[in-house]
Amino acid sequence: MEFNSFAYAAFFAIVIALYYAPFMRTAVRQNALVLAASYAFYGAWDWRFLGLIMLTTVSTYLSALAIANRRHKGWLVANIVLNLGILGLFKYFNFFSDNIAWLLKWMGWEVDWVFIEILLPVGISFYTFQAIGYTIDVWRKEIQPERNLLFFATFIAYFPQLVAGPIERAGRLLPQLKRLNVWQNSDATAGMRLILWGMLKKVAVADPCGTVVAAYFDAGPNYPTIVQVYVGALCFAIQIYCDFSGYCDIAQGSARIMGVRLTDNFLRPFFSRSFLELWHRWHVSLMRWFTNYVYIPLGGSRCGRWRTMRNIMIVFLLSGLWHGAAWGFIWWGVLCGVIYIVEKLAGVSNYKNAAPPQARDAVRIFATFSLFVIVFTIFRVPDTLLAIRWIATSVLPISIILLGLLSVAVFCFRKLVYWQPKLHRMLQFMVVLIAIAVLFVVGAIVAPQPVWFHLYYFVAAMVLLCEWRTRGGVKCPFPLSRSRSWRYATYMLFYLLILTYGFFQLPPLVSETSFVYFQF
Amino acid sequence: MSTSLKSPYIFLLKVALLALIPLLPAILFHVIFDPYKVLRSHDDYFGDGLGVNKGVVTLDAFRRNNAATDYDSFIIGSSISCYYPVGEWLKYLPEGARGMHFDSSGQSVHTARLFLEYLDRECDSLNNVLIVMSPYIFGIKDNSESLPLLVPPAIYGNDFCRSLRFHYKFFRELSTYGYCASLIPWLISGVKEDKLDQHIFEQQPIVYSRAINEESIPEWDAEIAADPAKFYATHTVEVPDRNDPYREMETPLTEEQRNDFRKIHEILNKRKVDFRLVLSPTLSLEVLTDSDDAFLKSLFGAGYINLTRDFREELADQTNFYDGVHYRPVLAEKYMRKAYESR
Repeated sequence: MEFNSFAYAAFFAIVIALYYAPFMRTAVRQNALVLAASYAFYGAWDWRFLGLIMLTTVSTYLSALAIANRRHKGWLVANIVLNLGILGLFKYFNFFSDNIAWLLKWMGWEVDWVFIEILLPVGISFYTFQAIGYTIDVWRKEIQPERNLLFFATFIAYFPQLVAGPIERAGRLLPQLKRLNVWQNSDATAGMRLILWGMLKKVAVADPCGTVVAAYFDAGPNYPTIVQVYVGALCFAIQIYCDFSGYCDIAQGSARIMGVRLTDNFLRPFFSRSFLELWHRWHVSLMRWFTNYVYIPLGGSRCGRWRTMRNIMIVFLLSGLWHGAAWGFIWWGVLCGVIYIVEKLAGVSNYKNAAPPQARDAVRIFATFSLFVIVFTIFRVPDTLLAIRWIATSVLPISIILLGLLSVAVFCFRKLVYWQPKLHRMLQFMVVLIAIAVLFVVGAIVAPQPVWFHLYYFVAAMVLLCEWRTRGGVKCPFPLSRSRSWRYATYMLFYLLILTYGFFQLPPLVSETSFVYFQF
Repeated sequence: MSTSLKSPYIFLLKVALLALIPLLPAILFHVIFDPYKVLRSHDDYFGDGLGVNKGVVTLDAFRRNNAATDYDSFIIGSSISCYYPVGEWLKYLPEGARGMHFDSSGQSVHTARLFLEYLDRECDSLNNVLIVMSPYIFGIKDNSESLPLLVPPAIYGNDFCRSLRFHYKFFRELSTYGYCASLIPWLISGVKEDKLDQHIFEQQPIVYSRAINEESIPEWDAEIAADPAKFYATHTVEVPDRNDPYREMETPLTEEQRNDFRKIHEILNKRKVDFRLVLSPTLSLEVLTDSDDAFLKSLFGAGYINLTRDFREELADQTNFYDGVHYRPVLAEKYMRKAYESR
């Protein structure tokens, strides 16, 4: 049951109608409903997966109680081994078998290896990490073990964040689940806005971009031209951001309507001024998980320079492996780790607790964004050597050229503004318009089609502009007018754009509609 | 934060109403124009040239005419059986038989069973049945999402959910850019042009006889008679050589298909129907496995006519075909003659 489907809309409406029904007088009843709904939601993917999530739930629940009753590290280790074992079996068995067999063959030993047909359960990477995090938090005495199995099971299986995060810490989510949530119009309105915004990003930006990416990247190694490779890489960067953050927005919105606040998983990552800052803004819950449960236990940054670099590389390697059982993901992790370390050694700021980015940071922002596009090209293209070739011949050179042009433009802009300060705002507006026009023209040249086929460029630009305007920590992801009429007009515009692509199916025809991160 | 306790139900209702507003034009358009002709009965299904669901057409013809005609003889099958002339078929049936086509596009074994079950429920008289299949049919997957192949919900009986799903699928298709890109220019200018690889117009110039629910293509028949080379220059038909070997079907009949055949046999037996199950040959020379052939023979006895290894000369003559799958009435008549005279 995809978030962007009528089935989910109907399902969610029924859940909300029951969640706030007059007979839902206790948190226990509300959680029983949410748990049943969560299992129904998960079972809709494949009912066979339910046994697995129940196994994780019960084993983690009992382990935590055992740790609290008799503090023995064996319980912690056993639970981690069990959960990672399940994850390893379903996600990595064939990958490791394949590679070990290759290694043995290279050493001269022919092996008749065992490969098993395994269906990867949806969301297993997310809820497994959530369960492991809970056990470790209990061991560290950061939280008390949850003694009510119903509440705990709901925490593990909570349907808005079950299949693609955010990965929540028990100390944050459990208390919200354990209280009786009453209807708040403000929460419902905020939640609906998030859902609308998430759907817009997914349906009207990510899916069309995904079709363009597939058209260029999946047609064969020699098919796309240099410009098409760059456009494909750019579209993939936008696709993966809008797809994943769109999902998270819908998850947050759904939970918000039920009175629960989930973690912000994306903090405007495309406006990062350095690669270090990017990783504090991208997939926040996963990076925090690795920081809390891998990086810090290994010593973090308090154990000397070389060990710090080792710890960083381990985190990124594991992050790459977490994304999938393929060498492409591992190389992606390695590349991210290398760039991260280089920036750290060079003393680049991570802009933690810094003021929000400004227009004067345009060059830094574009440089960081270009690095993002480069590393995610490896993420997308299954053949790593081909990805490297494309990066070397297309993505990197074009990024450098554009960075140079941008630097010149910013320099000229600053000089002009210095002499004509009153033109500041107008010039900013003109620069944005010109950038969008250039994007549109390039897209039209690369893919000559009727003009309305390129509407999604404008939608993507609008999304990024809205996020820029609200980058200063404003809760609503897009600017809201104080006038009620204008607010409703904005909602209707977004909804019409969603219908244009999701319902009317304006080309580029969508090749797939499932969320990219569901495969992890 | 506001602590207002406005009802969630009012909120959900407001959201639902707001969500419905932009969909109203599409809903109204679908209801008023009904381009797929699935919402209500139409006097003319083929006149405007828009593609239709043949199952819906068949059902409508039956419902409109059965009270007056009291049909008792039916040709069941896919689009292959569409060109079997009822008039010729009646010559093999007892005098007074009242026949019609009860077929639909892309009909699989399962949908043939469903159609027969419908007749079993609705018909007082069920005396003669001609079921036309081919190895090609056995490969058709059930639960196809293709609109021309969707089984009308009435075939299953009164099922509201099925009916809703059926009409929703047509509504969704109509509301897509791909469909509108071809439909709207046609509505405005009358020019029929399929766009974006989406075929919304009927590919064949069909002449339709409502009384017997029969399709024919006299325009193409005349073109073939006048100048076959010109016709087949634009309608490619690759015929096998006379010496090409037969090849067994890659996938034998599944257990579900066997069960469907058993059910078909049960109905035919129960109603004491005089039937023929004709397995017509294909241009790819596919034949059943021995096991499947033996199964159908044991089930249907003399009523099972396997022609997949016959008519090699006719298969080598492309003028017997409209395309790679559909053969012309002239060949269908030969199959019928063989089916009824062989017993």
